Amino acid sequence: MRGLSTGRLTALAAGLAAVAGLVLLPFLTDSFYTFVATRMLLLGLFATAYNAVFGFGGMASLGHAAFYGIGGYSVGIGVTRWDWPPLVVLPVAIVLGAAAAAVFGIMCLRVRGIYLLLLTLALAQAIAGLAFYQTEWTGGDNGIPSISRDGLPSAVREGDGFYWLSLGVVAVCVALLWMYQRSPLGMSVVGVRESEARMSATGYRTGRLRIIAFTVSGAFAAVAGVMEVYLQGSVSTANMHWQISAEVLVFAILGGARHFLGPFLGAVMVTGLEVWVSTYTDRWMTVLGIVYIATALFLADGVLGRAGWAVRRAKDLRAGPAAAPAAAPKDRTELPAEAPA
Amino acid sequence: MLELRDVHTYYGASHVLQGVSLTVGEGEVLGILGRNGMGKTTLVHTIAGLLRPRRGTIEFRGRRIGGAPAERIARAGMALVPQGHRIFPSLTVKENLKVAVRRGTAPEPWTIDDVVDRFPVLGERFGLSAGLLSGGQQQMLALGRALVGNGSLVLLDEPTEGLDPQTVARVGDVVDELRGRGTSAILVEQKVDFALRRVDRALVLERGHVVHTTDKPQELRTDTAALRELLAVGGAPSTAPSA
Repeated sequence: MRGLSTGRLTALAAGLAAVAGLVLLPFLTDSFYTFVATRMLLLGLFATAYNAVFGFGGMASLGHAAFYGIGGYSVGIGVTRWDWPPLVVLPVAIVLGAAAAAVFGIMCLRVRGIYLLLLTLALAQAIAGLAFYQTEWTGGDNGIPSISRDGLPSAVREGDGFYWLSLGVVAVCVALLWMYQRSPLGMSVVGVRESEARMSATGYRTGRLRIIAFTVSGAFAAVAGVMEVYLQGSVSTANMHWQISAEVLVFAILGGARHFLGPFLGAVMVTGLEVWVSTYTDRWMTVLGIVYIATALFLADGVLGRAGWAVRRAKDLRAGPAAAPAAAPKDRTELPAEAPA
Repeated sequence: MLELRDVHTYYGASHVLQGVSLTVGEGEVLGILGRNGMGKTTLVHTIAGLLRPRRGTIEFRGRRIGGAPAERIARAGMALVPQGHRIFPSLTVKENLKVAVRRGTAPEPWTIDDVVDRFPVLGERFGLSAGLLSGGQQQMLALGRALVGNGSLVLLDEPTEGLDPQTVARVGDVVDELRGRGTSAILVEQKVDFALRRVDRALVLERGHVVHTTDKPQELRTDTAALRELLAVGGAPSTAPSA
């Protein structure tokens, strides 16, 4: 351990404790909270996938429920019609989710900001409408109930086993998203967010990078959708409702869209709050609304952004009055900066 | 290498470049001088493809590029150091350089190590977010990004703007080295003495027109009367620090 600073050792220890806690969680709690934890993981993956477009790509989308729902319907239709095993369902869902997201990316090439929000919303609503009216395939408004997990190995089919399966899938997907984000390709997408003109002048085809960001995001959102339907055992147009797109946007903003794990944290916090507050009052939506308002007013750059600022501030204070004070987190209106070169 | 013929560029109804013609030969450094608002940056952006000329032709390495997208022009071998330390603030110094690396068409390619060798302070801050660098360091990074792009023509838009004398000297050394390596460049500068010391030819822009060209920049440098008439400056010794 020589060569590791105290801070890094603390981070390493915290990371190991978190991993141990996640793996051992089913032994520490009952089946209800294991179910809740599974949902947190899957929504966390969805939010992390979403952030490849939103936080890192600088493109606010209100259409990601479409990719999530496509993943869900891949399970529903594949399992109930053709008895597909997960090893077939998953690649099909990934390809369909990625393809739909690529089409979104192509169609959204010419729009930015509020117009991008509206166009992605409209495209997602069109896909949800397709699912609603194709009753023969999707069950329409009733959806597809009683989707069996029989294709899964028996050890991970139920309860704790399914939690560990979800944990494994989410860990692999989040690791892949992290690698993508740190790759030259991921960095180039961040470059497009910061200045499309500057990236263009460096020789990058910025439109292609935007499409790639959508495609990667859609593929992983579909994986989250697949696992969610295996968890719930049913899929319907509710899995494609625009509110799901809005929720994932809130997860990202609440946790901190400029931080890789911020949206994951946002998903965990909102899901946990929902469960916790609803045990005390039926008006849990009101409480969540107040939390969102407080976040918008006081937590610029989300919880992780504020936490990072607090750590830097504490370091500055320890360093003494001569040290420069930590800059407060920027106002969120500055986030998707696109300055001309 | 580069030839502009009768190029006109507009911002809406505003006619900024009014028939600019110029050439840059292989391995040649052309200086573009002029007071604020005379169209220097518009000219650079038009050449780099960030603005579309409404009339005229631009040829780069034998191909017409007027109106082509900026990324195609960059891929053809043109690199830009934009005015005002434009970098990617949330990427680290290393990431800023990595996303800019191209095999390119430079006669003698630059590597990230070459850049760090010329600007050691960038190496010391390799893992730091570029937005936390000082203005001078950001300018070094912007210059480094253009160098590792390995273009055969580098457009330098006021690379010394707002820099301290030591950093200006370093930027000057890099421009000299570019020239030594046989890379062509266009150097847009307000620091007249800095520019005229290191360019092969120079032209003066005024209100979108080329009003003066010279093949003897060293002579113009010491011609106080001409400088006062063309650029409203009092001559080299009093205009800028020597670098």
